[in-house]
Amino acid sequence: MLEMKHVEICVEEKKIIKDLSLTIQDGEIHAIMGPNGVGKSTLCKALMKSPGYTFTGGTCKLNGEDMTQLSTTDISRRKVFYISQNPPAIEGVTNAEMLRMALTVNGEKIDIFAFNKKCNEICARIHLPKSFVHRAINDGMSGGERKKNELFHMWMLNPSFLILDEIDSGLDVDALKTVASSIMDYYKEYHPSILIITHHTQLLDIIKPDFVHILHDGKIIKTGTAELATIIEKNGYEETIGTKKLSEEEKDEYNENR
Amino acid sequence: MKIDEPITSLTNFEGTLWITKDSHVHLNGKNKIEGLTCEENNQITIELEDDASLIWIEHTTHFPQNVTIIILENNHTKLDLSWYLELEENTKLNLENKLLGNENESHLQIHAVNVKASTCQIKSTGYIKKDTQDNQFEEELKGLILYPNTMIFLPELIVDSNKINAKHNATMKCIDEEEIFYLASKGISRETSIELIKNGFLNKTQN
Ligand SMILES: Nc1ncnc2c1ncn2[C@@H]1O[C@H](COP(=O)(O)OP(=O)(O)O)[C@@H](O)[C@H]1O
Ligand SMILES: [Mg+2]
Repeated sequence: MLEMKHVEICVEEKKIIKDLSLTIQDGEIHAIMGPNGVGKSTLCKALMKSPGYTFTGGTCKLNGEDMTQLSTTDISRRKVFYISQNPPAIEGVTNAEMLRMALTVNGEKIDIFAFNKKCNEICARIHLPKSFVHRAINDGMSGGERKKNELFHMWMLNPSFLILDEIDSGLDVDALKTVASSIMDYYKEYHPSILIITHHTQLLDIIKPDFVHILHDGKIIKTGTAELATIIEKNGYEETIGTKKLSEEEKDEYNENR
Repeated sequence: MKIDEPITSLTNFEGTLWITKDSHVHLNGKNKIEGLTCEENNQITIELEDDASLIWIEHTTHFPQNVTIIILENNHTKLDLSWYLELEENTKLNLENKLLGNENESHLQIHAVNVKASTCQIKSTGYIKKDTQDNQFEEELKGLILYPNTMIFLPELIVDSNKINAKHNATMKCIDEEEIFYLASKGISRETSIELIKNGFLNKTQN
């Protein structure tokens, strides 16, 4: 369970998240939507303790433990998995090497035979060529391949909490379906909690959220069901949350009605 | 192979070279050097005779001080040099690649990282002789800096001929915090991340 109460987050001394409260129970799917630049990625990065993104107020607990005291590595080892908007490429470091290191906790050697077998099974499952296992992380991969590569990591590391930041950006319709379906398969098998950021209902038609929240001015200003996402897609953020500037005609109409 | 003569001639050589004093090695045919051992202040000349080729792969943690390596290329030769230097001590290395004739091809790739706070200076000079033609020279010098102010690159290209295709590139970078964060987000500690990034840079991937 992730429990945030009155959270404040600063980036380079600028307060981006001002008063955010949100509880995600085990196995729940929450979507956060909101206009560009409102702080959705900032929230994800702060949860992962990305350098430069700091909690400056409120409380944030992961299964009862104070997240502000944990490092990125600690958080990942508590089974939180994050896919960023733009996963970087890491020259010369292969998926296999990275995963072997990630799975070697407390110096315990992993069974290399079982590891290779698992890699191959997962590649087959997410339609990723086996050759990706020994490719450098995200190096020379297209946007779609990078996202699939991240899913490969997800299946290998077996997390119980997913933070997915606009995983649909830069994907064509088919790639989006493959990626979203794979996450849903994972959800059906392991029931992780999911915090998902997106602008599009296409993704939420597959990864069906229990709750949809709108982030605006550093706060969650509206919470609803999956239907809210449909309304946003149809009417836009401004109209949905009532921040739209009225045209002269609309203003006249408004004044007359008063 | 141990070399203790001032002049040696080898054909289709393959393996490691152990050179004990200043020497000039002539290479004929297809050659592959997989590791060179030499001594402080040595000057070693490797000369590719006409039509010879050389693949030179170096994975080393130790280079003696003040070594000068001169690679001469005559006509229609091919050089492929990939050096991965993981330097533990102070190093001063001087590499000269001289294209003396026509239709030579040189590819040099040097990746250097110093794993202790020692100073590492690599001077690399490409020289293409006057009135030669159809030579190709490509060099990439890359440094990964783990300790500030410890690496010095002195790349130079001396071209006397305008009938040449030359590329020359020297870059240095520090460990990228974004990469560390990414690896940490997969559960890897900072020390292990640095080790992974360093080994990747040095092409030391073991599967
Ligand atoms: N590393 C950073 N340095 C400076 N400003 C940043 C940084 N990251 C985010 N911001 C600022 O924080 C605000 C929110 O950005 P972001 O969280 O990326 O928005 P969203 O993901 O909702 O589009 C923006 O004004 C952005 O310019
Ligand atoms: Mg964003």
